[in-house]
Amino acid sequence: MNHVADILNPQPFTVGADGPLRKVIDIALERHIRSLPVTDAAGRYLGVVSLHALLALLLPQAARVEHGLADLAFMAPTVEELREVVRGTGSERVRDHMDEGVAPVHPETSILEAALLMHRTRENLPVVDRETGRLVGLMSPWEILKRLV
Amino acid sequence: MAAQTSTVVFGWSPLIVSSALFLATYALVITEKVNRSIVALLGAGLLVLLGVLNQEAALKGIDFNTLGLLLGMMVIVGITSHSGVFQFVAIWSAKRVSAHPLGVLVMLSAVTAVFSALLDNVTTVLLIVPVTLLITDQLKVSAYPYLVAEVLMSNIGGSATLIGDPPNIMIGSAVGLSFNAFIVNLAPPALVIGPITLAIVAWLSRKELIATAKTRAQVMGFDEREAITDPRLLKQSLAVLALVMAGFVASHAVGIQPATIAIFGAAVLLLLDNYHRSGGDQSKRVHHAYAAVEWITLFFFVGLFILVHALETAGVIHWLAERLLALTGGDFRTTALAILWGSAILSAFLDNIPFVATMIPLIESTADTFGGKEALGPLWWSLALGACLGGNGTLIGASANLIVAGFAERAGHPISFLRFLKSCFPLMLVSIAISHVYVVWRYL
Repeated sequence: MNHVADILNPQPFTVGADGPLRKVIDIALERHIRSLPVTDAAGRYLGVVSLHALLALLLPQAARVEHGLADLAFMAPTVEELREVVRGTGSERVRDHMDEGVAPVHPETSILEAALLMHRTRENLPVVDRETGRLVGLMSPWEILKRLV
Repeated sequence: MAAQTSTVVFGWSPLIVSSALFLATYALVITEKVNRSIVALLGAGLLVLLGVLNQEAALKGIDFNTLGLLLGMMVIVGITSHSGVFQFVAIWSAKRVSAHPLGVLVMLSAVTAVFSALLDNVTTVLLIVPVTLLITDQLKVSAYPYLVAEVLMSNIGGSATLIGDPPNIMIGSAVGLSFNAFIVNLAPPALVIGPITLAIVAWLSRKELIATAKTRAQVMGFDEREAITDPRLLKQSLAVLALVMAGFVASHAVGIQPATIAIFGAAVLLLLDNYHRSGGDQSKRVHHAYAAVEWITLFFFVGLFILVHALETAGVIHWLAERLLALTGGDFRTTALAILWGSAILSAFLDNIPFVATMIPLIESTADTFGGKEALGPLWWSLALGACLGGNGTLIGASANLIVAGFAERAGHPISFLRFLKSCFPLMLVSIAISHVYVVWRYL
């Protein structure tokens, strides 16, 4: 028992790429989950949508991009103004806010390798079948703790 | 030169080898398939390996004053930018005009021009464009006229001083023209071209420059004092910059090269920013300061200087100068205006750095025809005006243009090549026509 397949969470919460962002917010608030794998209609892994993407929605575009504004201390919007921004984004599609750069691991990846990746990226790892590209589960520090402690 | 040329491999003519390598380098740089610094260093390396130049001769071709001046200013500006001064000035200037879209356009353009003249225009746009996009987003107005105006004004402002744009640094360094000489000769046309260009941009985009009271109030709510992230560093940076500027003004009279002043200024600012910190902290910050240097540009210059030096020693430049004089009939006025217009058109489509690097020895070769080096002044000012302002003709005409275009695209406000060409190429021609009148009126 030394592969990801042996300890992964086989039924993680997921979200469809074309679903509304509101659904991510609801799941995150209800389940205290910080990130969700995104799949297409056939269950293939596409990326991850996280609470960081929702935080980014609060920021002006000029601060989000590479070499953008270094700080925003000179702006002080009210909570109500920020709430208005979040309200306006609930109907946007998950696809437009997911991170496609989170590389998945595979069922045959070793547990230690997965631990190293989680340590480095501070992210949960989607587990994807190498042949079909379908999401088969999720690896998080919880899975490791549950089995090893 | 005989000792250098006799060792060329296979008995090839150094004239042919240096020309072929220069053209191949130029072509490869234009395709943008390989980073331009790699291409230039490969070309320069091949020149030495093939025996066109030996290493000693190759090093003699490098203008270390240009490199030192760029390096010093890049370090100073890099450190200064951490103080938040660019954001402060941009927000402050937008609020001075009550965040009116037209006023903001004028103020941000003026700020860009002034910073581009006194620092370097690439760094200026890199720091002004993000604040501009924030302000236009808040005002809910199109970012396009603002970004275009900043591109144009960065090149116009940069054309006004020795340190504003790389072509001027190269010309000033190679020919020994002073900081003051650049201001006296090139600031006047910039002061005319800038406002005229800005007025045309504002008029063309007048329908887009409308904002509501609510969005303007949002910008007026910005607290520019909060943009200053490090007040101590700000004071130190501004003091060093003021001293460096004073040094540039005085340098020629006391026989000190601008590179010495810029690098000494950088060293002083590094000292002020670090002396009170621990050893480990100092290493980190100094490393960070050096990392802000655009090494790609500097290594591109190194390779290019060697390639052009080979053309010079092999006699290619002399041959080209003869062709130029034959074309202009050896007439000074025609030569100056041909350089002005030719530089402008070519600089709109090609990188103006290699072009100016080639033109400098070429113009120097015409000294005998035109009565000595002292008489060449108008040709240098024509080259500087053409090369700097020509960059406004297309989106790829100057480094500042590419920086703005890249950022605008990442931020979801792409600037199309054709749209820019349609509006800015005619504007560039207007600026060259004004320069034409200026050169004729003042020098010919």
